[in-house]
Amino acid sequence: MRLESRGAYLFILPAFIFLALFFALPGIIAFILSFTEYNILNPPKFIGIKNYLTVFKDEVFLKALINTSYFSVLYISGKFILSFLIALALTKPQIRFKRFFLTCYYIPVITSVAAASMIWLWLYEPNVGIFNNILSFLHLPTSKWIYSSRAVIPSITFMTIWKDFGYSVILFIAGLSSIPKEIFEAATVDGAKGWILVRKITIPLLKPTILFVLVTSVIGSFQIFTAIYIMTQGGPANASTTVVHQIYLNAFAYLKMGKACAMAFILFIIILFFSLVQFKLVKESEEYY
Amino acid sequence: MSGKIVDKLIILFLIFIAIWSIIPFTWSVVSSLKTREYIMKHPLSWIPKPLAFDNYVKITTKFRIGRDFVNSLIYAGGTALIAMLLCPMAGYALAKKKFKGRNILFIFVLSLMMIPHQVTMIPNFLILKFFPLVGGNNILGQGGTGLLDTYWGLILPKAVQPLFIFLARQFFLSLPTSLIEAARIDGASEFKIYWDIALPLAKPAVTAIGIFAFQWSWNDFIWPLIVTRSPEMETIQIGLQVFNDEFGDLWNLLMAATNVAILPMLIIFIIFQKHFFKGVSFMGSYR
Repeated sequence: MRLESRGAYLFILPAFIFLALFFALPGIIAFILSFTEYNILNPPKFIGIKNYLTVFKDEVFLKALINTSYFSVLYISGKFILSFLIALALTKPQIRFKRFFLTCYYIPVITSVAAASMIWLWLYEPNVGIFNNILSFLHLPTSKWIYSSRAVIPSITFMTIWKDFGYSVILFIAGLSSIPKEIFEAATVDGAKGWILVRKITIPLLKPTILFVLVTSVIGSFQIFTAIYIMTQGGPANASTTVVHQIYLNAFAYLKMGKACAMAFILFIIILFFSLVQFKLVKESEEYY
Repeated sequence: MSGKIVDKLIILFLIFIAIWSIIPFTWSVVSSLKTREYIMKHPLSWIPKPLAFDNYVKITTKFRIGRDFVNSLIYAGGTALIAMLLCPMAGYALAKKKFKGRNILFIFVLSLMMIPHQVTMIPNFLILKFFPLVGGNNILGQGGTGLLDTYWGLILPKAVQPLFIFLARQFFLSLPTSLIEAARIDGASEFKIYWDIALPLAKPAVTAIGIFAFQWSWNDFIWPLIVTRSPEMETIQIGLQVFNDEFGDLWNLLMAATNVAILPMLIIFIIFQKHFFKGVSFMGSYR
């Protein structure tokens, strides 16, 4: 016993200095700052829960919350269905060139959001961009895409699904391949086929993976920032501003650090809520089996 | 027979989605080889005439792409190196050593994983700004810019991620302890045991940590946006955005720069493909 602990603290010390300084301490500072008024130039002034009250009366922030939720719903439903269907197709034994397909699907995932945003800015360009040129070539109505307040969120969602779905495909395939083959064989012998097999066997057994994909997607979608910052700057007329975009602007453009920290904590609570829901549901589903 | 048709439809669907995944990149390569006149006159053409390879030369002069590229390499390489050095070490101790407070420290790591980076980014900016005795700061952290706009400012807060320590711990837990014990009986020092025996066994985990750290930093946008100020320090992702702001209508050059920003990750992905997929599945299995 004594031997084993020899030097243990030296092994963990370097990493834990980093964790303490750049994760734990900032977490505490953010919490404290969220109750203050602070613009870097003057020392922070304690103002109680006023930041939280102003944030919930801030129309732009509420708009950002609505935009983010709208994006989140579109993004998750689209990405979930697409990546689940692809994973089902790719795990069929008769499908060949699996690695090739996976490679194609994963290339957008390893691309930075900034680079992807540049490419899609170009695709969406209203005058010389390819989308509108194809549409007008086919005599179909064109769109202003990200420059229209109605189309902006769907356009950003479309691009973000394109960029991210490959990641969920990998997770689903990992989940699907961990289901014992005998279960499928037994069910097939009993006459289960096609969708019934998927609905009655695959989905229930895949529940932990499904929950993991759903919850990490909700969390990820609530953190959308870079695509918005690069492609629309929140426009037109705040039609695409998001929670993190507002946190960024308040902290680093308006220097309202306290208010930004309050917003960040609200985001934290939203994310924490979804993590706890996932945790609880996974536990329940494990008890069920 | 109807099963055959379904199979064909499934393959068509997979091919269609594969094309959808790749075609924007193809278009960005095609666009990057067009001249400015050609791009305006023939917006639908897939075969540029003439092929403007010099666009890739132009971006080095019109645009600080060389410097940006090096900055990104330093940021991504630096975080990956520190992550690969320190996170497996901590994960190893948490998995294979018994010491007082081990469980509490592990719970500490888990709870830090829950905090989104938007919460920590504002205080981290302040910690860098008021870092004592660097960047013109006095011992109280006043007077200068601290670690802002430096490589250390970019790298240090991003290098050690709680997730990496967690992944390393889970991996070491799955390894047998017998080899470690044998070496201990032979009288090898604790660090030697770790470095010569445990670490080589954990190569898949260490590789995954290195790849993720590199990928996140190379592709990172918000942290360099906050930390870097001067054009000399900007990373390539920030450079794209600055270029787009300044010359928004030079699409051929912008696409050339975008392709340069994508290329390193693409090469790493093609070389280490298996590790990417394994790493992601590994994360999914420890929810």
